[in-house]
Amino acid sequence: MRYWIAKIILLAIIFLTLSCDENLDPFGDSADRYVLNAIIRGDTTFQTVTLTKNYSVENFDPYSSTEDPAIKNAVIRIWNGDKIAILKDTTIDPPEGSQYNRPYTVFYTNNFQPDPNSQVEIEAILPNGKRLTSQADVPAQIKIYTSQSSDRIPPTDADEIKIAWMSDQTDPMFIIRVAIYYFKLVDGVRQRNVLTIPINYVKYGEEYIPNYPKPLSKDIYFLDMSTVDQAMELISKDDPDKSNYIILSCIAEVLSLNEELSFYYNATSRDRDIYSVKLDETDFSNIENGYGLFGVYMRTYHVMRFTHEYIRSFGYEPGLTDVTINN
Amino acid sequence: MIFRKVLVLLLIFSAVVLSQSQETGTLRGFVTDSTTSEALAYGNVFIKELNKGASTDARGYFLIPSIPAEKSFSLVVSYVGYKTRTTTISVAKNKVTQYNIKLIPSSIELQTIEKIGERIAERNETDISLQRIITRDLEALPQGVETDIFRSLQYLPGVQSTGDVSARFYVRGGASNQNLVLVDGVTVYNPFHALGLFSVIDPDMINNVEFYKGGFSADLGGRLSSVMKIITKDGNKNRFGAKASLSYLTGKFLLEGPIPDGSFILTGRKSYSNSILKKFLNDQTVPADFYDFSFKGNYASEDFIPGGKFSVNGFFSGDNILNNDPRIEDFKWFNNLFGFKWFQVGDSPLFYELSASISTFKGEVIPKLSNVRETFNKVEDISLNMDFTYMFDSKDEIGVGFHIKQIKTDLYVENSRSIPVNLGTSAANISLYAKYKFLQFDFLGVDIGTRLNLATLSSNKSTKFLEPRLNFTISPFEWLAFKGAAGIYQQELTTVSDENEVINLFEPWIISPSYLIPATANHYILGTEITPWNFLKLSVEGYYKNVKNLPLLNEEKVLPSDNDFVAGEGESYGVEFMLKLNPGLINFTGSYTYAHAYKELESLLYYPRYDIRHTVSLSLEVNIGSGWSASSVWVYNSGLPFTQIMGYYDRYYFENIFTPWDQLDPRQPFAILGIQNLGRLPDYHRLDLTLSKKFDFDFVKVDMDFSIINVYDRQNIFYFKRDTGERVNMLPFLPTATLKVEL
Amino acid sequence: MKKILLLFITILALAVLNSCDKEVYTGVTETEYFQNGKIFLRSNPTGAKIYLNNKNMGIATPDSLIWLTTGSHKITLKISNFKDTTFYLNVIDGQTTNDYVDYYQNPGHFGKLECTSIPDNAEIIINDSATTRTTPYTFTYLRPGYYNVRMKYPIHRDFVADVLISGGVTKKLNAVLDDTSKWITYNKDNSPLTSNYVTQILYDDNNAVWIGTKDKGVVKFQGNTWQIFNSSNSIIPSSSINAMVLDNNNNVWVGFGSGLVAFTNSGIIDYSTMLPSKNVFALHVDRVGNLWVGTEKGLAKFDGISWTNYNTSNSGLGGNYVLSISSDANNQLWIGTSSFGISVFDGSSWQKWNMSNMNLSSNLGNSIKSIAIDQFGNVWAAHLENIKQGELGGMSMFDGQSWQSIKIQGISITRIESISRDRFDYMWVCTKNGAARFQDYTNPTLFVTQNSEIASNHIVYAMIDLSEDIYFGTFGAGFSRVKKGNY
Repeated sequence: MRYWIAKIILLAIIFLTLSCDENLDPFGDSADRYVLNAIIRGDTTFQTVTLTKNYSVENFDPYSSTEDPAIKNAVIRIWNGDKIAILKDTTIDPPEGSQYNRPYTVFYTNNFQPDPNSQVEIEAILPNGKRLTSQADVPAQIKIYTSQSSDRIPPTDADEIKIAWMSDQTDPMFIIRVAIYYFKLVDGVRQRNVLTIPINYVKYGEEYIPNYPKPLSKDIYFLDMSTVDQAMELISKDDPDKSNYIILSCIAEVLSLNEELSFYYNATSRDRDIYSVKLDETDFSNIENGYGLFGVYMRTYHVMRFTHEYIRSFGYEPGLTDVTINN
Repeated sequence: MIFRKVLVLLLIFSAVVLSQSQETGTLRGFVTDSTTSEALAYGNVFIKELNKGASTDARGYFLIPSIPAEKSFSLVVSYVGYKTRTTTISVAKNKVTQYNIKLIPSSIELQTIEKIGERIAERNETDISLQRIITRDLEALPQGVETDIFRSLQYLPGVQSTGDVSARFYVRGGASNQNLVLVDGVTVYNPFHALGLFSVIDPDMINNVEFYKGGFSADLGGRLSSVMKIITKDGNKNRFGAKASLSYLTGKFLLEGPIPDGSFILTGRKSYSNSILKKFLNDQTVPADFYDFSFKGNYASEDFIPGGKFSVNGFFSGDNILNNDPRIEDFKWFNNLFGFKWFQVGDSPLFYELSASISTFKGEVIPKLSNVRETFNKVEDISLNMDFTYMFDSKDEIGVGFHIKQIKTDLYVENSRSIPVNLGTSAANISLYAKYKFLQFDFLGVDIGTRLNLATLSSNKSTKFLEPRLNFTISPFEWLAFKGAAGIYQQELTTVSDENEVINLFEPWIISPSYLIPATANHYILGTEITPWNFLKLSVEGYYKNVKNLPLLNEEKVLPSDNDFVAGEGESYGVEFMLKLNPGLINFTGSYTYAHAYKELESLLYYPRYDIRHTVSLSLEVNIGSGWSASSVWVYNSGLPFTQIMGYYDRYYFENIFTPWDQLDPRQPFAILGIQNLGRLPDYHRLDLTLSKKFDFDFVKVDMDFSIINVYDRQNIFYFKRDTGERVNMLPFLPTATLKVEL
Repeated sequence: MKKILLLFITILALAVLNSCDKEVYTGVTETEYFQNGKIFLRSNPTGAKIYLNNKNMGIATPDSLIWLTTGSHKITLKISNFKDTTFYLNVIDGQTTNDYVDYYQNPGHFGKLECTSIPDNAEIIINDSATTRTTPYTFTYLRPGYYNVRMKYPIHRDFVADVLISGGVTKKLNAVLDDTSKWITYNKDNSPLTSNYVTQILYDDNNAVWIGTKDKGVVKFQGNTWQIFNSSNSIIPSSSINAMVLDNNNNVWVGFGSGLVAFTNSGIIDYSTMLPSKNVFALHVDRVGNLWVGTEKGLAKFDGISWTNYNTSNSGLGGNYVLSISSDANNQLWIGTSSFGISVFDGSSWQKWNMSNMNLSSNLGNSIKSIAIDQFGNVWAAHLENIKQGELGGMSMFDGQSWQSIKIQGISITRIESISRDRFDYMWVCTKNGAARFQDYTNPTLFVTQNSEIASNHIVYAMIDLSEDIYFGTFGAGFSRVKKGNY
């Protein structure tokens, strides 16, 4: 009795091990999908749009595709009220450091700037007649509260830098970058450099890892002076010749995202925790008949000047006139 | 107030019933191990002369009514692995006579010779879809890395898992959050360690487990799919004992011993190495660090309250995944349970149990510098249960209970604007149940009852008030029984988790939001059990289950004001075959399940991720003798559903929004997915072997286990990586060993 | 029996269950069909913007709209100056619908131009061709576009305007023609004069008028032709002129804050490097034809060949900061300095005059802005006001014996811009309050806005040209001319 059971099991195992060396393809067949990515900037007349289609790869590395997935000879129009731009396509080599090793085709115009608090519309007519369309709202330009924002570093009355602004949008999202602009003398030639200041540096081993600000829903941003000090030191890390550094100023850039960009940001920028493995991912698109994104953001700058005393305390040279102490 | 009224009513009722009794008496008692004094659950108690018997319950308690009074009978008590004991008993008229019986474990040598049959099932027992597991069963199964009751369950027909890596289980097409896990009657909200790879329940603390795959009766509620009732050990009343064991993953200890009029037990387990976890996670290092700790104290003194047994138990588990790297998020989650129980038998065939417990769960995702959303979940469950059982002389039983559950949940998640919002609420469920077990004929057993929800956790007005249940058994011949069950089940709690995740850390619990009607399930189960010979048992069970208002995560959520959940529907059906062969020293169990599971959202039907069409599980245990035993398990699953990748497209990302487009392409490839779960992964099968040897020295017992997981190194696919389509496999050929030392 | 039952159950169960697979959602198959109707649009004139359903399509005629669906489409053509044209076109898939819009076929697109003038009967010239029409007159059926309209009337200044005629609109043009028979003023708005701020004005031997401006260079004006010289279209070092003088060779010398040039027959020559300082304040040509240049750092003499510098250290010059120069009949040089009074140089010796030896009745100050000598040999000097030093502005006169303060009846001369002598030997005193012309200062002729059509009372310089017309350069209002016989 027990022997026939054992035999059956053994046979079944042998059978299954031999016959089930299947090779399953994780990829399904798919129809053509078109992707329109248009992030319109409210602070410039130069706009770029990409129009691509889906592609497949032979191995497991989607970056390995060398074929340009761009759709050329499409007619892309952007409207803002009665203003219109028809975008032309141009192909460049992949930007340096790009993981893709294929050309990069963009549609561009240098003659389109949307008005704040208006609507923009996009339409891409593909060479096969397919039409991708979308609309978006243009956010209002935010205003920096200059009276409440620091304009010199270090500030006279606090040990933190404060940048406050005002937005007319409901539920706005902002992305902020505060960066030090400086020259580095390399063989007597000035090289322009930018160093982004994080919220803070977190020590990990011997390294300091910058903690960059996440998009904010608040309209105020604080930056501790100790972080600025650390960033200033980092500029010339491992370089004993401090006088080769000419410090210009510190510029805060605040991007105000429109609604679509905020949603999209939320759908894309959040990482899944590294242990959870999810097989699906929500996709947000506001492009009709296709994938991608049509959004608008505004960019506002706020310049903060370093005092010469502060710059020299690091051994650097100031590149601009000193901040009047009275200010 | 209600409680007192119910108590009074019951006492009156029982008094009336008592007064009707004839020239007979009732026998009751506890069956325990003579060495450890642990209760022996599901043992056989049989009065030879009357051809009448009972089996012990999970507490080792039995009760046989209508025994002719003041006559002597031979009471035969038998239990697997114990010497059968025959005692002479007699019962007093109109009284309950108590005999506590201790069984002596048969020695290792004896086991090789003596074959003791399984418990003699009562013909009319309404136990469809109920699986009883005792410690001995657990030990017999292949050990793997760590013996785990949750993993052992996955060998049962109707219980599905989505891979070697997860201890999460899915019962008959139900989601994993529809399973209730009770430790000594207290709910454990997140019974998983280390990314869900293992359960928090240390098998050493388990006395026995009752696992209901569906159709559970009115005394159990709150979940749609299944109930796992874990009864922990009481601790040795006779002597102090200590046990320690070591596996690749954890170190464990157990302490037990007598206290005046009682006993205590302490168990603890701590992970010390996570190198083995790499095998589970595609060579990914997880700094998992976990522990669990439990204690239980018992007190039963005839001087204090005759017939009363008190116990206090606690269970604490914690998991930390703490990364040094500030760019990688940290996780923490904890279960803390504390319970008090009073089990009382009186001078009548009435027994009742009062219990009070607190169960808290706390889970946290700490993003640090990563972009993961910060999450904080806390569940506080304060429960008060009163359960009364009265057995008539006719063997019919009446059960009434009153359950109060006060739950407070907090779930702080960052909304789409990075602002933490609390999705938690607080509410109480007050429910009353009543059931009647009609057992007076040997060929028929019926358990009919209902739960009444006097107050509900959900604030939705459509929450069900009544949850009627029915269970029956018809046994026309001794070797044949037809069984069935039907009922309505309601679940007012849900988890904010995504079942499309192949691995997730913990599932945050909340009370079903007010905009959703709490999910309800209808179970319909029919089955048959054939026992043509003593050594062979075949059972076939078919089930149909549908779930209404199933809360599913709203994948379309974009605006902060959008609902987090949408109501879907679920449907599942299948048939399970199980064959048990027990001809002597080998033990063979074979099962086959044919099942379908569907989910429906907005009238689109799709397969859930755990929809497995065919499941075969074959297990063989051989008692070789001289302390050697071997077991093997072979499992076959037809392919799991998965979502195919339909190609890629270049998607815009914000990471470098400050860098001009011609310096850095802001796009990255993004996989386009096909229809959810329309593809099927290849079949899964695996063979595990275990060889174990027990050494019994004078002062110390040593258990050695050597196991091989995936003996023929089958490349079972776990999943295809969403972003690349690359294949990730489950456990490879993996030999492990465990050493257990018992003082 | 048992086995049969067992088998039976198994078979039954398998049979039931195998037939109950449900149909799951497998996606929707997209059937896309694009309609390719075309519209080809032309227009006369071309370049009309094409709107489809009120939306600017960013293209202009002649061009096509493609991928249109079968049916009616609303087209609007917009071209500047014409009325918008909206119409509906029917499109059929796969076919091209053509349409042509000739704006000129529609009278509604023509415009009207109504010309009136004061006085009437001005001749109307459109786009440089005579129309033989005189005002008032209304032209009809004009095509939209820009038109250059000139209205001419004898001894009146022409009215010139570029007007935009739009379709269906009457454009009205009403010209007020200035009577140029007596007075005429030229300014930035009514002439090619580039600046209203005149600093110097002179005429040359060809009777061309040279105007130096504060900020827009040198303007040469002769008849109807205007020539502008500034730092961006010529080599002159600056567009701000401090001093100008005509030498005996008909060269115009111009002094700037940053140099000195001569406008000669052979072009502009830059002499800046020859000076002790480039900051030139005064220019003078003496009786023998030497050019004297007054700078911030002394005096320079150019005799046509070589340059000689005079300053306080190498000569008897009272101060290095020279503001004004003149010479008398004996070719004695009279030099007005800043803060150091007047120095007189006879070619060999120096004499100094200042408050300490001028013995004036009022404290007029030691900075001499302008200096001139009349036909009788009297020296006239303009003193700058200096409130800090308590020095008053005014005029003094030296009769060969002594100095005296002079006041002129009817005009305040506390803020003098210049003193000069014209070719009829009249003295001019130009002030911020008007100008006076006299041979006998007790009986001057006054030129102020109250009694003449002069553009402003702030007169910088005045002169009579070869046609005996008087030119007044003003600071802020251009320059005014009064014809011979009207003063």
